[in-house]
Amino acid sequence: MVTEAMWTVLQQVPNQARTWQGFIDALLKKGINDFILLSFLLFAIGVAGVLTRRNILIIFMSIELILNAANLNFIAFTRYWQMSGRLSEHMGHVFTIFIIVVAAAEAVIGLGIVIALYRNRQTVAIDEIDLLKW
Amino acid sequence: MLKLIVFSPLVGAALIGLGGRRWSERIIGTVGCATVGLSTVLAFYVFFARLLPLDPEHRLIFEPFYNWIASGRLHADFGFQLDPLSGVYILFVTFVGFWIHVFGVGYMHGDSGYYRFFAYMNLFMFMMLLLVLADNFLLMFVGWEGVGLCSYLLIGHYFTRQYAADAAKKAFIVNRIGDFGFALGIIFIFATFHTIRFAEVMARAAHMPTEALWTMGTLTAICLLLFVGATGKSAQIPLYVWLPDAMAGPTPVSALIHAATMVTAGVYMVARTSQMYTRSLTALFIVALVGGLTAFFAATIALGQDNIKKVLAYSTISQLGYMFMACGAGAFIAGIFHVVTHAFFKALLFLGAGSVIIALHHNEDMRQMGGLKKYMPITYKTFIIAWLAIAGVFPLAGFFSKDEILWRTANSAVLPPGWGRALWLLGVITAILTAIYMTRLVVMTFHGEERFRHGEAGSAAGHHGGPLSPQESPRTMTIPLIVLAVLSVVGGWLGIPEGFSAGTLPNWIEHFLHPAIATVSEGQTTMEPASQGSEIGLALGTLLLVVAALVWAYRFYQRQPLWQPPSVLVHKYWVDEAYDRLFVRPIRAISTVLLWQVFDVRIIDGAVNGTAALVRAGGRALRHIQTGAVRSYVVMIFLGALIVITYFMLAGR
Amino acid sequence: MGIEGLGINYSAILPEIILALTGVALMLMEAFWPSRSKRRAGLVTLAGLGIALMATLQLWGAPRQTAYAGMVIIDDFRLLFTAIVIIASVLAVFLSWNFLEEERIQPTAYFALLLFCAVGMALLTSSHDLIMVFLGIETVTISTYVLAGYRRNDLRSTEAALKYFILGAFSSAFLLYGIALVYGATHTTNLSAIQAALNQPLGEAERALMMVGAAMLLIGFGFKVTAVPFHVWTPDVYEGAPTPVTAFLSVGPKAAGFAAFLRVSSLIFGADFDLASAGRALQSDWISALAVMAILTMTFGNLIAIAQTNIKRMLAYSSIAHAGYVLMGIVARDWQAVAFYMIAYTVMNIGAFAVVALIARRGDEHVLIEDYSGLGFRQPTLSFPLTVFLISLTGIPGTAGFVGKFWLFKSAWEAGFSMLVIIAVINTVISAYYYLYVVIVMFFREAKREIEPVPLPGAFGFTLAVTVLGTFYLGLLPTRVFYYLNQAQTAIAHLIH
Repeated sequence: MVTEAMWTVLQQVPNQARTWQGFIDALLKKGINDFILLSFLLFAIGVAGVLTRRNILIIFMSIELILNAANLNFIAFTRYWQMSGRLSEHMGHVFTIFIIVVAAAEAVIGLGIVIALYRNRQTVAIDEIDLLKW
Repeated sequence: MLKLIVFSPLVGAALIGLGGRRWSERIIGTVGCATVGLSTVLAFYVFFARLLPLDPEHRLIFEPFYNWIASGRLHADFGFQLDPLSGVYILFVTFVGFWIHVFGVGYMHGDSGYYRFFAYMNLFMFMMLLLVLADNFLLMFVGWEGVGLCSYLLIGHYFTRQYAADAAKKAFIVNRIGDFGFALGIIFIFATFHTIRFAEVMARAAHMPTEALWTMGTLTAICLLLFVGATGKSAQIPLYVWLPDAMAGPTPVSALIHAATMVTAGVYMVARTSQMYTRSLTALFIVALVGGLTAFFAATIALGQDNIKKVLAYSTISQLGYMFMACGAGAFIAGIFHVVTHAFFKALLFLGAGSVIIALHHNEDMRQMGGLKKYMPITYKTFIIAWLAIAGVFPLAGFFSKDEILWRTANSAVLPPGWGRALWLLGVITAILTAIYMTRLVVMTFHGEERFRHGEAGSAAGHHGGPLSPQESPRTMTIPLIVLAVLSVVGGWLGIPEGFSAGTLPNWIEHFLHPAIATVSEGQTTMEPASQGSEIGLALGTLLLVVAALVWAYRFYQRQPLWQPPSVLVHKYWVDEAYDRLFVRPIRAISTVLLWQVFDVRIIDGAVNGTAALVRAGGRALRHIQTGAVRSYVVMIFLGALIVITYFMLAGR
Repeated sequence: MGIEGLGINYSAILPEIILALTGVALMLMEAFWPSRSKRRAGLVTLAGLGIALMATLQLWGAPRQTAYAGMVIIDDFRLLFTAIVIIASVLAVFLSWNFLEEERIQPTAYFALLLFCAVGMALLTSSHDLIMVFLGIETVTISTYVLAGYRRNDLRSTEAALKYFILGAFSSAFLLYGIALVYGATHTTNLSAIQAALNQPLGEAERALMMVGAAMLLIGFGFKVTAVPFHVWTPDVYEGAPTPVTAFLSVGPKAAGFAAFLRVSSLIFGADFDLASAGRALQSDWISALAVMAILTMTFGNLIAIAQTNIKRMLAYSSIAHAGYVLMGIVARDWQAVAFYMIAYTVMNIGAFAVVALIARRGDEHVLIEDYSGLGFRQPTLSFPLTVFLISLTGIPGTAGFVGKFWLFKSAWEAGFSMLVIIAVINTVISAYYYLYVVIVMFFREAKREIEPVPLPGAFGFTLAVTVLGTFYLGLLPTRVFYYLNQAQTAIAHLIH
């Protein structure tokens, strides 16, 4: 597979520890737990943002944070397994690309909706939108 | 052939429903009566030419129509089954139904909903025949719900009157409660027997052991669930409340649906599943007890009613109670026999009442009647026959069936010791009460002072202005009365107890129904069969009491026709009010106040405020406490997520 | 692994390809030959849906196979649900016909969105990988966010779109995070591979990841199929969205969501696991969580529906309640019952919403139950079909709703969830109350104010005829549908075991 070939190439590159990639790998060598923790923190920050902010745009950004938390998980897991010798692991990388595309599409639609709403009500505050209830 | 019997009324309903709007009353009436008439003729033909010639032990005709539901083990055909039990039912259902249709032609004359009335009546006949002829529980349930739906539509016929709409709604909802039991029962039956065809279920049930009193076995559970359904449809305690209100419908509807046919569907179901009931002593006892209590209770209420149809409605409930008492005592055949005779005389009573109501321009209050006998001789004479028949005077129909029930109950082998006698006593008291309230009805309506001329202001009679002179009803109405009167006399002769004739005359209906209905098997009998002499003795005793009650009541009400019984009876023991307080209002209140306003708005918003505030407290001052709806939703999802995740974390340990 | 190892198989996703191409073609058409004719756009849409349906049916009976490295699966289950969602889309096109005209909406974009949503739904039904599930859900929801807000100048419509968007994105994020955790626990997102991984003991860390991941999957799916407590968006969105869109939302995406839910539930959590495996413990948690959810969903839906005065909102709560019934089928793992119920529900609910859409008229003005008073005998062409649908939703025998409910209840009972069935039957009794209320208002109440009769356009007449006939057909002659379901059952039998 392609990633497999790339990996073999990468391994032959000298001084890889000096690259950004190498830095992450060095961290990963210590274990996956730090990455899971980081991703969980991102997730929690995102959820807290959705729960507390009044500005719809900031809520969107918080949701993006949650998506990125998932992305981070995917990437970290795959890379971790690759480093521990399971060279055929590559799904996480591919999915991350998918998710980024989906997130972009979602953002476009979300902004469109906010604009339509702003035209009607001249506000982007979430707690002023409660016409439909009960 | 059976298909034709069932579908002929449906064709009539479809024709009238689609084209009736533009047709004259004559065409609608003809189509309605003709299609039902065709069913009647065919029913008689099938019964006498096909079923009777068969060997008595194998009188069973199956007629599959098509495969309705087939999935895995579940097979339900759209198929029909004719055996002695359903045979008896189709005979009187089509016959009485036909004459009530004829009566309806006259009764509904000039009504704006003429075509609707006949479309629904025909649809009802279809559903009722489907219920009776179905060969499995599921198809029977179709008919069961169908008759309920038609009854609902017909009760609400005068939909512009608020109380009619309310009555329709009440009937539907109460019946749904009963259907809940029936539906669960069917599922339970399928889970137990892996089939829902009557023949197979009964064959398998026949191999199951009898379940003793106060043990909760499978059969007991099934029987009790089914009985919940029966109490709904057949208006027994505690679900009887809808039937008196159902009188808001046109009188032929009351006669057909709420007296003669639909309300006896519960008895039919119990008799149909007799194989199961006879194997559960608990269920039998409860059926008998509910039946006996209902019979008594409803009879007392009937004493206090002033609306002629309400009296008859409570009387129907009371008579249905008799039928269930018989079934509970293990005398299913006696119960079915009473269903048949009751169909004749109760239909006659209702139609007679309808005739009176029409003559008085839709006034149903007995306090504004009286002295009608000289204006309406035919109605009066037929009504007298029905009166004597329901009271149980020899040799009219009611005498034989009621006597059979009382005798069988007193000597029941399946009721706990002593209870047979107790229920018998209750039955006799009810018989006396029946004689009294029916006499009151006859006297208030047909005898004494003519009170309809000075009807109270605002009453229905007042609207038409001018002096009111009641007239005898047209022939389409009187002929059905006469036919039914004849049957109310001779109907009982189908089942003259053998004790009466010392065995020279066979009890035809008993012999005929015997193969189709399980009887209490030998091993269960704990008592010696009572001697035949005792049956005559009991019958004479009851007859004497009833006649005494008739005479006393006649004199009493001649003197004071407007005497009021204690108000507890007039107000029907305040059961309606109690139900309203206990069930209807709380449910509505829970829905609106608790869940909808308090829960969604207060508790959730409260929790929302709390959680949101908590989360915010980490970084910010408590400034923006006001929460919008979207945020409350987000928090709700979040809380739900928290619960689910915690659950999985903890349960996974 | 060579190129053939990727498992490229165009015929496996032919319906999706056709739907997507039609959508793109519509947009191109608008760019090069602009026209406001809804007839042209509508016909193209219908043609695309029709061809996709044919492509789906032509695959019927083909041996079960996976494609695209196990991302996509073809079996009769997928084909059946794909057919359901395509039919729901066809009915939605008919329902939208008048709406587009009245609101002067550019038809091509609207229909293109509908088609893209159909692509997403079809993908959802065919997905055999959690990532495909996620992509399918996103494709569906992104299109429906827009559809819900299509009445751009209407406060309620835009508000519905916004609420739908925020809550939908929020719950999708949960789902995605859950997928990532499951991936971490099992090294894969392929459903069959997850099942294989769970069939042996997991390490302590993996186990924790898997538990949280499963919980988050439940949340994500719960949102899609409107299960309590993740139903919160439903009433608002159903009420605010244009009625044809609501009709579509309540059946199409829901059926697709249930299809994916069912597949995940039966593949990951429904297998016969070994005693010592990690899957065993997970399975019982999953099933009991689902059962509780089913009870909450039907009870909440029904009770709150009683208090509604707006018919769209009432039908929204009713739709929540019905989701509760269907969840029973997932608990009992009887996918046939679920499939039949979704077919029945699609037919009767689209029908009911068709009448509601007609009566609501331009700008959704007449949506209170009060507005239906006196409708009964004044406009029997509307009131009688609506009565049929409501009766079917109540579950009166002879109609589609009864057969569906009976089947669901029967399977749940046989699977040993008798308490669940009893609660469900009580719920159907409660539901009679509010469905019946509408019938009473229609037939037994005088109109409060004079509303001129609504004309019955051809497209609606067609929809009503199809749905009324369908309701009775499924109620009285369901044998043929059962036959196909049974045929598919043999195909899927070895999938679960």
